[in-house]
Amino acid sequence: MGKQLKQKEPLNAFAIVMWVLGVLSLFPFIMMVVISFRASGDAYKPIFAPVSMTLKNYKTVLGNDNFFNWYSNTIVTVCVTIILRLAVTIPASFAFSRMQFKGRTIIWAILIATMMVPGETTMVPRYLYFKQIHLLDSIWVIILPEVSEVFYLMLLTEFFSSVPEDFLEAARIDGASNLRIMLQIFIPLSGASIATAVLFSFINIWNNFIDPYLFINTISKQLITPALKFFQERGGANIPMQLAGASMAIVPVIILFIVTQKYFVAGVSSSGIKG
Amino acid sequence: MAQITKKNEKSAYLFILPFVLMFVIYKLYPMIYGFAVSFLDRNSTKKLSSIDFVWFKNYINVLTSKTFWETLGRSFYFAAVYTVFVMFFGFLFGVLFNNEFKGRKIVRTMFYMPYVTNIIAIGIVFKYLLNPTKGPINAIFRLFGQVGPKWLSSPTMALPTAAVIGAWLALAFNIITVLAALQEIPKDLYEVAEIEGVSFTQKLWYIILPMLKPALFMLLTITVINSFKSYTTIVGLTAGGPGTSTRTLSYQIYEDAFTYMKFSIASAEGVLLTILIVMINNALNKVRDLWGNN
Repeated sequence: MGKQLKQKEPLNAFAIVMWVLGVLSLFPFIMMVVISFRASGDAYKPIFAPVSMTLKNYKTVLGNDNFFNWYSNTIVTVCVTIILRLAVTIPASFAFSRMQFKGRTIIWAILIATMMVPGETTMVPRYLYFKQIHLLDSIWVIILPEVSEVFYLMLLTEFFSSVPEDFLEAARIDGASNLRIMLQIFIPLSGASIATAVLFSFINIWNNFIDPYLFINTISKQLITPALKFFQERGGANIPMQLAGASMAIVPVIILFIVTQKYFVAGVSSSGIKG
Repeated sequence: MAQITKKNEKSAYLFILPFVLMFVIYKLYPMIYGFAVSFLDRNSTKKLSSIDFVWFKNYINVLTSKTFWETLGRSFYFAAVYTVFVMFFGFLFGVLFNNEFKGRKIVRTMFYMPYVTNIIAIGIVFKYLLNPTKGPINAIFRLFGQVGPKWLSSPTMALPTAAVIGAWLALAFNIITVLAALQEIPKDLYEVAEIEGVSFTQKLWYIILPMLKPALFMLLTITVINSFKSYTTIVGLTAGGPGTSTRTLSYQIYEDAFTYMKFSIASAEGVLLTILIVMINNALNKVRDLWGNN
């Protein structure tokens, strides 16, 4: 850790205050991990009390058949959604940023306007509609509606618009089709922005609660985040075990975030400032 | 050759078709359907596919019920606490992180981490930490001979407590945006300020705030809109309780639909929530335009 620090940065009172606040912000996570290693009866003993650590909670959590199902359901849902999302969003973003067509402005305006409609508003109609078309109780009820998210269309359109026109000039003179320009010029140039979209998608779908909670009933078909809720209801008073489940549920996103923080910050900054 | 980009390119429709198709089927249609359901009489399990058109009956029922105005009031209370917390600390930490210090990157990661997790997982640990009798937070109060509040179990404290926890989880977005906007301020502005020997307060008031106005307004709009989508936070922390003390409008929609099976009533409430969000958005845009002209 110390090796990464530059010499010129001062370690002064300000730095110490910031470190303390940082640890304070992490406090809930620290407690989550610490308590998850305690026996059920020791949950509320003081933080520094000499209690023995146990792996029992993690064994219980991982030993649960459903826990493996929730994990694999979530990973499949996340991966399939990301692939389909990119497949429809990249061409659409390319068209909105680089092509002229009738109705472009009005279609864009409608898409953006729908972003203001909260998920709560469409809870009921989505439930009734997905029931009618027999989509309930499978991961497709999560995947299909997530494919065309306007947020990602905005994000990629923004990125594509910033590619200098010079890159296209030569290809257009050679008579390259739009499809070729997109595949051979835009996609290779947009590695970082596509990575940002993938990262955001991963985090959002992983943390999605409302949709799977409402639309998936069979416990073995559930995803990890809403499954924690069922876990709480059934796990009863065993708080350390619930915390072990919660830790297991957020570990993948936290690791992913730490590894890819650069793209995460770039994504928030660009959707924030220009948005 | 430049004209090529100007003409109507029919192939563009093929590029947008998959996105638009999925959008219409899975996003737009449910919105229109929900609007339609709010005028029907699907208010019990038996009438799930009823097509009786009842005009504005559901809206009248909602708008004349005491419950609606109570839930709306709670929504505003939640929104106010949430927005003030996120805007204030987002700005504060954005400004603080704009200074060099040892380990800045690591500390920043610590602050961003809550944002990538979710309230369902985090809710479990907060319910533990804030347990009124046994929890570690109230143990600190006892250390000083005080009796701590009941937090999420108190009818008066539960809603603001939930709002603050929800805000803490969302804070990183504002910090990152403020930080990015600060870094776009031209360095020479600061240099001039250094030479003139202005104080930090003057720098804040005459350089930082005016330069950050567009970013802060955008953040305010996003934050306020998000603050009315409190459903997940409430489910993760209090499930509407104790009693009905944390039932916000967004949570009430869920209750009316999936506990009481009043689908049309819930749809009407959903439409009203959308109207509310659109009105707030428009009001904030108006304020921004007025300020922008000065």
